Amino acid sequence: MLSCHECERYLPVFLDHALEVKESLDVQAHLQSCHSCADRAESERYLRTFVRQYLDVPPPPDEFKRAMILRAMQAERQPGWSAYLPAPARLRDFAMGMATAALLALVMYGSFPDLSSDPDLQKVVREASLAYGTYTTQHMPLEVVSADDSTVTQWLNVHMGYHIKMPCITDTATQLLGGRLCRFLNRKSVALMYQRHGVPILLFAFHGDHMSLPSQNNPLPNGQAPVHVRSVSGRPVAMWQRDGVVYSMVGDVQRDDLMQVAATVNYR
Amino acid sequence: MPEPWEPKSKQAEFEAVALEHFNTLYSTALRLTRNASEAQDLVQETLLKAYRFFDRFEPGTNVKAWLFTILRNTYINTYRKTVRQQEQVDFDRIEPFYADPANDTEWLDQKSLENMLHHVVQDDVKRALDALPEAYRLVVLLADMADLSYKDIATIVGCPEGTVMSRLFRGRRLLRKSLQEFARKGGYVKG
Repeated sequence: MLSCHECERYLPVFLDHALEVKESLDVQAHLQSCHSCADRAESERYLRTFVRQYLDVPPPPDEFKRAMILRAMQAERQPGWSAYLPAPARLRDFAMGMATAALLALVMYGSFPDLSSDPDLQKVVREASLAYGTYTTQHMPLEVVSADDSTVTQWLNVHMGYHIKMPCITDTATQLLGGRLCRFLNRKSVALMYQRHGVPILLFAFHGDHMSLPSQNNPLPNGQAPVHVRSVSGRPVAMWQRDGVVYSMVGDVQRDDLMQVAATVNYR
Repeated sequence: MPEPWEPKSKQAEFEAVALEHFNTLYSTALRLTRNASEAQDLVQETLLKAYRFFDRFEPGTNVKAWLFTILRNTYINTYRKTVRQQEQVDFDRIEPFYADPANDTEWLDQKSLENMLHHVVQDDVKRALDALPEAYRLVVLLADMADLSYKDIATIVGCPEGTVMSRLFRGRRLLRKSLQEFARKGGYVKG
Protein backbone atom coordinates (compact mmCIF):
# COMPACT_ATOMS: atom_id res chain seq x y z
CA MET A 1 0.00 0.00 0.00
CA LEU A 2 1.31 3.43 -0.93
CA SER A 3 1.85 6.12 1.67
CA CYS A 4 0.24 9.56 1.13
CA HIS A 5 3.68 11.00 0.41
CA GLU A 6 4.30 8.43 -2.31
CA CYS A 7 0.83 8.96 -3.74
CA GLU A 8 1.36 12.72 -3.96
CA ARG A 9 4.59 12.14 -5.86
CA TYR A 10 2.89 9.85 -8.34
CA LEU A 11 -0.27 11.91 -8.69
CA PRO A 12 0.71 14.38 -11.51
CA VAL A 13 2.03 11.50 -13.62
CA PHE A 14 -1.00 9.37 -12.79
CA LEU A 15 -3.33 12.17 -13.95
CA ASP A 16 -1.31 12.44 -17.18
CA HIS A 17 -1.91 8.68 -17.72
CA ALA A 18 1.83 8.12 -17.83
CA LEU A 19 2.36 5.74 -14.91
CA GLU A 20 3.28 2.10 -15.39
CA VAL A 21 0.42 -0.33 -14.83
CA LYS A 22 1.54 -1.45 -11.36
CA GLU A 23 2.06 2.08 -10.00
CA SER A 24 -1.18 3.19 -11.58
CA LEU A 25 -3.10 0.41 -9.79
CA ASP A 26 -1.32 1.28 -6.51
CA VAL A 27 -2.39 4.93 -6.84
CA GLN A 28 -5.97 3.93 -7.66
CA ALA A 29 -6.09 1.69 -4.60
CA HIS A 30 -4.72 4.48 -2.39
CA LEU A 31 -7.19 7.04 -3.76
CA GLN A 32 -10.09 4.73 -2.95
CA SER A 33 -9.06 4.50 0.67
CA CYS A 34 -7.65 8.00 1.34
CA HIS A 35 -10.13 10.87 1.30
CA SER A 36 -7.44 13.57 1.47
CA CYS A 37 -5.46 12.28 -1.53
CA ALA A 38 -8.67 11.65 -3.48
CA ASP A 39 -9.68 15.27 -2.91
CA ARG A 40 -6.28 16.43 -4.05
CA ALA A 41 -6.58 14.33 -7.21
CA GLU A 42 -10.03 15.78 -7.94
CA SER A 43 -8.72 19.29 -7.36
CA GLU A 44 -5.82 18.75 -9.79
CA ARG A 45 -8.15 17.24 -12.36
CA TYR A 46 -10.58 20.13 -12.02
CA LEU A 47 -7.85 22.74 -12.49
CA ARG A 48 -6.58 21.07 -15.67
CA THR A 49 -10.07 20.84 -17.12
CA PHE A 50 -10.73 24.48 -16.23
CA VAL A 51 -7.53 25.74 -17.87
CA ARG A 52 -8.02 23.59 -20.95
CA GLN A 53 -11.59 24.76 -21.34
CA TYR A 54 -10.62 28.42 -21.07
CA LEU A 55 -7.68 28.10 -23.47
CA ASP A 56 -9.66 26.16 -26.02
CA VAL A 57 -9.72 27.79 -29.44
CA PRO A 58 -12.73 27.33 -31.73
CA PRO A 59 -11.59 25.28 -34.74
CA PRO A 60 -11.17 27.30 -37.93
CA PRO A 61 -13.55 26.56 -40.83
CA ASP A 62 -12.70 23.60 -43.07
CA GLU A 63 -12.23 25.86 -46.12
CA PHE A 64 -9.61 27.85 -44.20
CA LYS A 65 -7.71 24.69 -43.29
CA ARG A 66 -7.87 23.21 -46.79
CA ALA A 67 -6.72 26.51 -48.32
CA MET A 68 -3.65 26.60 -46.06
CA ILE A 69 -2.78 22.95 -46.72
CA LEU A 70 -3.20 23.48 -50.47
CA ARG A 71 -0.99 26.58 -50.31
CA ALA A 72 1.73 24.56 -48.56
CA MET A 73 1.62 21.87 -51.26
CA GLN A 74 1.54 24.36 -54.13
CA ALA A 75 4.44 26.35 -52.71
CA GLU A 76 6.49 23.16 -52.79
CA ARG A 77 5.61 22.35 -56.39
CA GLN A 78 6.20 25.82 -57.81
CA PRO A 79 8.44 27.78 -55.52
CA GLY A 80 8.51 31.46 -56.41
CA TRP A 81 11.26 33.71 -55.12
CA SER A 82 9.12 34.78 -52.22
CA ALA A 83 8.70 31.20 -51.03
CA TYR A 84 12.32 31.25 -49.92
CA LEU A 85 11.60 34.02 -47.46
CA PRO A 86 9.93 32.92 -44.24
CA ALA A 87 6.32 34.04 -44.42
CA PRO A 88 6.22 35.45 -40.88
CA ALA A 89 9.23 37.64 -41.61
CA ARG A 90 7.54 39.08 -44.72
CA LEU A 91 4.34 39.80 -42.85
CA ARG A 92 6.17 41.20 -39.88
CA ASP A 93 8.21 43.52 -42.09
CA PHE A 94 5.00 44.67 -43.71
CA ALA A 95 3.38 45.19 -40.30
CA MET A 96 6.45 47.10 -39.06
CA GLY A 97 6.33 49.28 -42.15
CA MET A 98 2.65 49.99 -41.64
CA ALA A 99 3.19 50.73 -37.95
CA THR A 100 6.02 53.16 -38.76
CA ALA A 101 3.87 54.88 -41.40
CA ALA A 102 1.00 55.12 -38.92
CA LEU A 103 3.30 56.58 -36.27
CA LEU A 104 4.66 59.14 -38.74
CA ALA A 105 1.13 60.07 -39.73
CA LEU A 106 0.24 60.51 -36.07
CA VAL A 107 3.27 62.68 -35.44
CA MET A 108 2.49 64.79 -38.52
CA TYR A 109 -1.24 65.08 -38.03
CA GLY A 110 -1.55 64.58 -34.30
CA SER A 111 -4.70 62.50 -34.41
CA PHE A 112 -4.49 61.27 -30.79
CA PRO A 113 -7.08 63.13 -28.75
CA ASP A 114 -5.86 65.39 -26.01
CA LEU A 115 -7.15 63.63 -22.95
CA SER A 116 -4.48 64.72 -20.55
CA SER A 117 -6.99 66.87 -18.70
CA ASP A 118 -9.02 63.80 -17.66
CA PRO A 119 -7.05 60.70 -16.67
CA ASP A 120 -10.12 58.46 -16.14
CA LEU A 121 -11.50 59.23 -19.60
CA GLN A 122 -8.06 58.70 -21.05
CA LYS A 123 -7.72 55.29 -19.42
CA VAL A 124 -11.15 54.09 -20.53
CA VAL A 125 -10.66 55.31 -24.11
CA ARG A 126 -7.29 53.62 -24.49
CA GLU A 127 -8.36 50.38 -22.83
CA ALA A 128 -11.56 50.18 -24.90
CA SER A 129 -9.75 50.79 -28.17
CA LEU A 130 -7.01 48.29 -27.29
CA ALA A 131 -9.58 45.70 -26.22
CA TYR A 132 -11.52 46.23 -29.45
CA GLY A 133 -8.35 45.67 -31.49
CA THR A 134 -7.62 42.48 -29.57
CA TYR A 135 -11.18 41.16 -29.79
CA THR A 136 -11.49 41.75 -33.50
CA THR A 137 -8.08 40.44 -34.57
CA GLN A 138 -7.75 37.46 -32.26
CA HIS A 139 -10.00 34.56 -31.54
CA MET A 140 -11.75 35.66 -28.36
CA PRO A 141 -14.55 33.15 -27.90
CA LEU A 142 -17.80 34.32 -26.36
CA GLU A 143 -18.79 32.56 -23.15
CA VAL A 144 -22.47 32.99 -23.82
CA VAL A 145 -23.71 33.01 -27.40
CA SER A 146 -27.22 34.30 -27.95
CA ALA A 147 -29.07 37.10 -29.70
CA ASP A 148 -31.50 37.21 -26.81
CA ASP A 149 -30.82 40.01 -24.29
CA SER A 150 -32.40 38.24 -21.35
CA THR A 151 -30.43 35.01 -21.89
CA VAL A 152 -27.13 36.87 -22.08
CA THR A 153 -28.00 39.15 -19.18
CA GLN A 154 -29.00 36.22 -17.01
CA TRP A 155 -25.77 34.35 -17.75
CA LEU A 156 -23.61 37.39 -17.08
CA ASN A 157 -25.41 38.23 -13.83
CA VAL A 158 -24.85 34.70 -12.55
CA HIS A 159 -21.15 34.70 -13.43
CA MET A 160 -20.30 38.33 -12.65
CA GLY A 161 -20.35 37.65 -8.89
CA TYR A 162 -22.03 41.00 -8.11
CA HIS A 163 -25.02 42.76 -9.56
CA ILE A 164 -24.83 45.55 -12.08
CA LYS A 165 -27.49 46.95 -14.35
CA MET A 166 -26.87 45.12 -17.62
CA PRO A 167 -27.01 47.34 -20.70
CA CYS A 168 -29.21 46.28 -23.64
CA ILE A 169 -29.08 47.98 -27.00
CA THR A 170 -32.49 48.38 -28.58
CA ASP A 171 -31.33 49.80 -31.92
CA THR A 172 -32.82 47.41 -34.50
CA ALA A 173 -29.80 47.53 -36.82
CA THR A 174 -27.52 46.35 -34.01
CA GLN A 175 -27.61 42.62 -33.34
CA LEU A 176 -26.44 41.03 -30.12
CA LEU A 177 -24.01 38.12 -30.65
CA GLY A 178 -23.25 37.24 -27.03
CA GLY A 179 -20.98 38.14 -24.17
CA ARG A 180 -18.14 37.17 -21.91
CA LEU A 181 -16.40 38.29 -18.76
CA CYS A 182 -13.09 40.06 -19.03
CA ARG A 183 -10.79 42.34 -17.10
CA PHE A 184 -11.10 46.00 -18.04
CA LEU A 185 -8.68 48.39 -16.33
CA ASN A 186 -7.98 45.47 -14.01
CA ARG A 187 -11.65 45.29 -12.98
CA LYS A 188 -13.94 42.36 -13.56
CA SER A 189 -16.10 43.49 -16.43
CA VAL A 190 -18.87 42.43 -18.75
CA ALA A 191 -18.12 42.52 -22.49
CA LEU A 192 -21.09 42.39 -24.83
CA MET A 193 -20.46 41.80 -28.51
CA TYR A 194 -22.78 43.24 -31.13
CA GLN A 195 -22.74 43.57 -34.88
CA ARG A 196 -24.04 46.52 -36.87
CA HIS A 197 -24.07 46.18 -40.65
CA GLY A 198 -21.33 43.55 -40.33
CA VAL A 199 -19.10 45.70 -38.09
CA PRO A 200 -18.42 44.48 -34.53
CA ILE A 201 -19.39 46.78 -31.66
CA LEU A 202 -18.27 46.07 -28.11
CA LEU A 203 -19.92 47.32 -24.96
CA PHE A 204 -18.11 47.01 -21.62
CA ALA A 205 -19.68 47.51 -18.20
CA PHE A 206 -17.85 47.49 -14.87
CA HIS A 207 -17.96 49.00 -11.40
CA GLY A 208 -16.29 52.39 -11.64
CA ASP A 209 -15.13 52.59 -8.01
CA HIS A 210 -13.01 55.70 -7.50
CA MET A 211 -13.62 56.59 -11.12
CA SER A 212 -15.45 59.66 -12.12
CA LEU A 213 -16.26 60.73 -15.65
CA PRO A 214 -16.93 64.47 -15.96
CA SER A 215 -20.56 65.51 -16.29
CA GLN A 216 -20.29 67.53 -19.42
CA ASN A 217 -21.06 67.54 -23.14
CA ASN A 218 -23.37 65.45 -25.32
CA PRO A 219 -26.26 64.74 -22.94
CA LEU A 220 -28.68 62.16 -24.25
CA PRO A 221 -32.04 63.50 -25.39
CA ASN A 222 -33.96 61.31 -22.92
CA GLY A 223 -32.13 62.76 -19.97
CA GLN A 224 -29.83 59.79 -19.36
CA ALA A 225 -26.25 60.09 -18.19
CA PRO A 226 -24.03 62.32 -20.35
CA VAL A 227 -22.12 60.42 -23.00
CA HIS A 228 -18.53 61.29 -23.75
CA VAL A 229 -17.12 60.38 -27.13
CA ARG A 230 -13.45 60.36 -28.00
CA SER A 231 -11.57 58.89 -30.94
CA VAL A 232 -8.34 56.94 -31.08
CA SER A 233 -6.92 56.89 -34.61
CA GLY A 234 -10.39 57.41 -36.03
CA ARG A 235 -12.07 54.77 -33.86
CA PRO A 236 -14.77 56.32 -31.65
CA VAL A 237 -15.21 55.29 -28.03
CA ALA A 238 -18.36 56.32 -26.12
CA MET A 239 -18.43 56.32 -22.30
CA TRP A 240 -20.95 57.12 -19.66
CA GLN A 241 -21.49 56.44 -15.98
CA ARG A 242 -24.74 55.43 -14.34
CA ASP A 243 -25.34 54.35 -10.74
CA GLY A 244 -21.61 53.84 -10.19
CA VAL A 245 -21.21 51.62 -13.25
CA VAL A 246 -19.03 52.74 -16.15
CA TYR A 247 -20.21 51.77 -19.64
CA SER A 248 -17.91 52.00 -22.62
CA MET A 249 -18.90 51.32 -26.22
CA VAL A 250 -16.44 51.05 -29.09
CA GLY A 251 -16.60 50.08 -32.76
CA ASP A 252 -15.15 50.89 -36.15
CA VAL A 253 -18.23 52.92 -37.10
CA GLN A 254 -18.96 56.60 -37.59
CA ARG A 255 -18.94 58.68 -34.42
CA ASP A 256 -22.57 59.75 -34.97
CA ASP A 257 -23.65 56.15 -35.49
CA LEU A 258 -22.03 55.13 -32.21
CA MET A 259 -23.80 58.00 -30.43
CA GLN A 260 -27.06 56.92 -32.02
CA VAL A 261 -26.59 53.35 -30.78
CA ALA A 262 -25.59 54.58 -27.29
CA ALA A 263 -28.83 56.56 -27.12
CA THR A 264 -30.86 53.33 -27.43
CA VAL A 265 -29.33 51.57 -24.41
CA ASN A 266 -31.78 50.28 -21.82
CA TYR A 267 -30.88 48.64 -18.52
CA ARG A 268 -32.00 45.35 -16.99
CA MET B 1 11.24 -2.48 -51.94
CA PRO B 2 8.69 0.14 -50.96
CA GLU B 3 7.02 1.94 -53.83
CA PRO B 4 8.32 5.46 -54.48
CA TRP B 5 5.93 8.29 -53.56
CA GLU B 6 3.53 9.19 -56.32
CA PRO B 7 2.78 12.93 -56.35
CA LYS B 8 -0.95 12.30 -56.04
CA SER B 9 -0.72 9.82 -53.16
CA LYS B 10 1.76 12.02 -51.34
CA GLN B 11 -0.64 14.94 -51.62
CA ALA B 12 -3.64 12.94 -50.53
CA GLU B 13 -1.80 11.43 -47.59
CA PHE B 14 -0.35 14.76 -46.52
CA GLU B 15 -3.72 16.45 -46.74
CA ALA B 16 -5.29 13.79 -44.51
CA VAL B 17 -2.48 14.04 -41.94
CA ALA B 18 -2.49 17.85 -41.95
CA LEU B 19 -6.27 18.03 -41.62
CA GLU B 20 -6.25 15.60 -38.72
CA HIS B 21 -3.80 17.66 -36.69
CA PHE B 22 -4.64 21.14 -37.98
CA ASN B 23 -6.82 22.25 -35.04
CA THR B 24 -4.24 21.30 -32.42
CA LEU B 25 -1.39 22.85 -34.40
CA TYR B 26 -3.38 26.04 -34.87
CA SER B 27 -4.53 26.39 -31.27
CA THR B 28 -1.00 25.74 -29.96
CA ALA B 29 0.42 28.27 -32.45
CA LEU B 30 -2.16 30.82 -31.35
CA ARG B 31 -1.28 30.41 -27.69
CA LEU B 32 2.46 30.49 -28.48
CA THR B 33 2.43 33.61 -30.65
CA ARG B 34 -0.50 35.29 -28.84
CA ASN B 35 -1.59 36.68 -32.18
CA ALA B 36 -3.97 35.30 -34.83
CA SER B 37 -2.07 36.43 -37.91
CA GLU B 38 1.29 35.25 -36.55
CA ALA B 39 -0.29 31.94 -35.60
CA GLN B 40 -1.56 31.58 -39.15
CA ASP B 41 1.92 32.32 -40.51
CA LEU B 42 3.49 29.84 -38.10
CA VAL B 43 1.11 27.05 -39.11
CA GLN B 44 1.55 27.88 -42.80
CA GLU B 45 5.32 27.71 -42.47
CA THR B 46 5.05 24.44 -40.50
CA LEU B 47 2.86 22.86 -43.18
CA LEU B 48 5.17 24.06 -45.93
CA LYS B 49 8.21 22.47 -44.27
CA ALA B 50 6.29 19.33 -43.35
CA TYR B 51 5.18 18.83 -46.95
CA ARG B 52 8.68 19.52 -48.26
CA PHE B 53 10.11 16.78 -46.02
CA PHE B 54 7.11 14.46 -46.03
CA ASP B 55 9.04 11.94 -48.19
CA ARG B 56 11.50 11.52 -45.35
CA PHE B 57 8.85 10.89 -42.76
CA GLU B 58 8.82 7.23 -41.75
CA PRO B 59 5.31 5.78 -41.89
CA GLY B 60 4.43 4.14 -38.61
CA THR B 61 6.29 6.67 -36.46
CA ASN B 62 4.48 9.42 -34.59
CA VAL B 63 3.38 11.98 -37.16
CA LYS B 64 1.86 14.29 -34.53
CA ALA B 65 5.14 14.58 -32.62
CA TRP B 66 6.94 15.12 -35.95
CA LEU B 67 4.60 17.99 -36.91
CA PHE B 68 4.95 19.59 -33.50
CA THR B 69 8.74 19.33 -33.68
CA ILE B 70 8.60 21.34 -36.92
CA LEU B 71 6.21 23.83 -35.34
CA ARG B 72 8.38 24.24 -32.26
CA ASN B 73 11.60 24.67 -34.29
CA THR B 74 9.96 27.17 -36.64
CA TYR B 75 8.62 29.11 -33.67
CA ILE B 76 12.02 29.17 -31.93
CA ASN B 77 13.94 30.09 -35.10
CA THR B 78 11.55 32.66 -36.44
CA TYR B 79 9.69 34.23 -33.55
CA ARG B 80 11.80 33.79 -30.50
CA LYS B 81 15.24 34.49 -31.96
CA THR B 82 15.49 37.85 -30.32
CA VAL B 83 14.66 36.68 -26.83
CA ARG B 84 16.26 33.25 -26.98
CA GLN B 85 19.53 34.53 -25.56
CA GLN B 86 17.74 36.07 -22.60
CA GLU B 87 16.01 32.82 -21.82
CA GLN B 88 19.10 30.65 -21.53
CA VAL B 89 18.22 30.04 -17.91
CA ASP B 90 18.37 26.53 -16.60
CA PHE B 91 14.88 26.48 -15.16
CA ASP B 92 15.39 22.98 -13.88
CA ARG B 93 17.91 24.23 -11.35
CA ILE B 94 15.53 26.77 -9.89
CA GLU B 95 13.57 26.00 -6.74
CA PRO B 96 14.85 22.47 -6.15
CA PHE B 97 12.66 22.11 -3.05
CA TYR B 98 9.50 22.30 -5.10
CA ALA B 99 10.64 19.68 -7.59
CA ASP B 100 8.88 17.12 -5.45
CA PRO B 101 5.08 17.29 -5.84
CA ALA B 102 4.74 15.99 -2.30
CA ASN B 103 6.26 19.26 -1.08
CA ASP B 104 3.57 21.31 -2.77
CA THR B 105 1.79 22.71 0.25
CA GLU B 106 -0.26 25.31 -1.61
CA TRP B 107 -2.83 23.07 -3.21
CA LEU B 108 -6.50 23.69 -2.49
CA ASP B 109 -9.22 21.14 -1.95
CA GLN B 110 -11.72 20.94 -4.79
CA LYS B 111 -14.42 23.08 -3.17
CA SER B 112 -11.99 25.89 -2.35
CA LEU B 113 -10.52 25.62 -5.84
CA GLU B 114 -13.95 25.87 -7.47
CA ASN B 115 -14.77 28.84 -5.27
CA MET B 116 -11.46 30.45 -6.19
CA LEU B 117 -11.83 29.84 -9.94
CA HIS B 118 -15.30 31.38 -9.86
CA HIS B 119 -13.49 34.73 -9.57
CA VAL B 120 -11.25 34.07 -12.56
CA VAL B 121 -12.17 35.17 -16.09
CA GLN B 122 -10.90 33.86 -19.42
CA ASP B 123 -8.45 36.74 -19.88
CA ASP B 124 -6.85 35.83 -16.53
CA VAL B 125 -6.11 32.29 -17.74
CA LYS B 126 -4.48 33.66 -20.89
CA ARG B 127 -2.45 36.15 -18.91
CA ALA B 128 -1.38 33.52 -16.40
CA LEU B 129 -0.22 31.28 -19.23
CA ASP B 130 1.55 34.13 -21.01
CA ALA B 131 3.38 35.00 -17.80
CA LEU B 132 4.99 31.56 -17.56
CA PRO B 133 8.68 31.29 -18.47
CA GLU B 134 8.95 30.13 -22.08
CA ALA B 135 10.34 26.69 -21.20
CA TYR B 136 7.39 25.97 -18.91
CA ARG B 137 4.77 27.51 -21.20
CA LEU B 138 5.76 25.27 -24.11
CA VAL B 139 5.54 22.00 -22.16
CA VAL B 140 2.26 23.02 -20.52
CA LEU B 141 0.79 23.79 -23.96
CA LEU B 142 2.10 20.59 -25.50
CA ALA B 143 0.75 18.48 -22.63
CA ASP B 144 -2.52 20.21 -21.80
CA MET B 145 -3.62 21.56 -25.19
CA ALA B 146 -1.98 19.19 -27.67
CA ASP B 147 -2.37 16.07 -25.49
CA LEU B 148 1.16 14.88 -26.21
CA SER B 149 2.88 12.27 -24.05
CA TYR B 150 5.98 12.98 -21.94
CA LYS B 151 8.01 10.98 -24.45
CA ASP B 152 6.73 12.99 -27.42
CA ILE B 153 7.25 16.29 -25.61
CA ALA B 154 10.80 15.23 -24.72
CA THR B 155 11.48 14.55 -28.41
CA ILE B 156 9.92 17.84 -29.51
CA VAL B 157 11.65 19.99 -26.91
CA GLY B 158 14.90 18.02 -27.02
CA CYS B 159 15.30 17.20 -23.33
CA PRO B 160 14.95 14.13 -21.08
CA GLU B 161 11.49 12.96 -20.00
CA GLY B 162 12.34 13.74 -16.37
CA THR B 163 12.95 17.37 -17.32
CA VAL B 164 9.60 17.47 -19.10
CA MET B 165 7.89 16.14 -15.98
CA SER B 166 9.50 18.67 -13.65
CA ARG B 167 8.86 21.59 -16.04
CA LEU B 168 5.27 20.52 -16.39
CA PHE B 169 4.82 20.27 -12.64
CA ARG B 170 6.40 23.66 -12.02
CA GLY B 171 4.58 25.29 -14.92
CA ARG B 172 1.20 24.09 -13.68
CA ARG B 173 2.04 25.15 -10.14
CA LEU B 174 3.00 28.67 -11.31
CA LEU B 175 -0.19 28.79 -13.36
CA ARG B 176 -2.26 27.93 -10.29
CA LYS B 177 -0.47 30.57 -8.23
CA SER B 178 -1.13 33.23 -10.88
CA LEU B 179 -4.80 32.24 -11.06
CA GLN B 180 -5.02 32.48 -7.28
CA GLU B 181 -3.57 35.97 -7.50
CA PHE B 182 -6.08 36.99 -10.21
CA ALA B 183 -8.89 35.49 -8.14
CA ARG B 184 -7.77 37.47 -5.10
CA LYS B 185 -7.87 40.68 -7.18
CA GLY B 186 -11.29 39.66 -8.45
CA GLY B 187 -12.66 39.47 -4.92
CA TYR B 188 -11.79 35.93 -3.79
CA VAL B 189 -11.12 35.63 -0.10
CA LYS B 190 -9.30 32.49 0.96
CA GLY B 191 -11.54 30.51 3.29
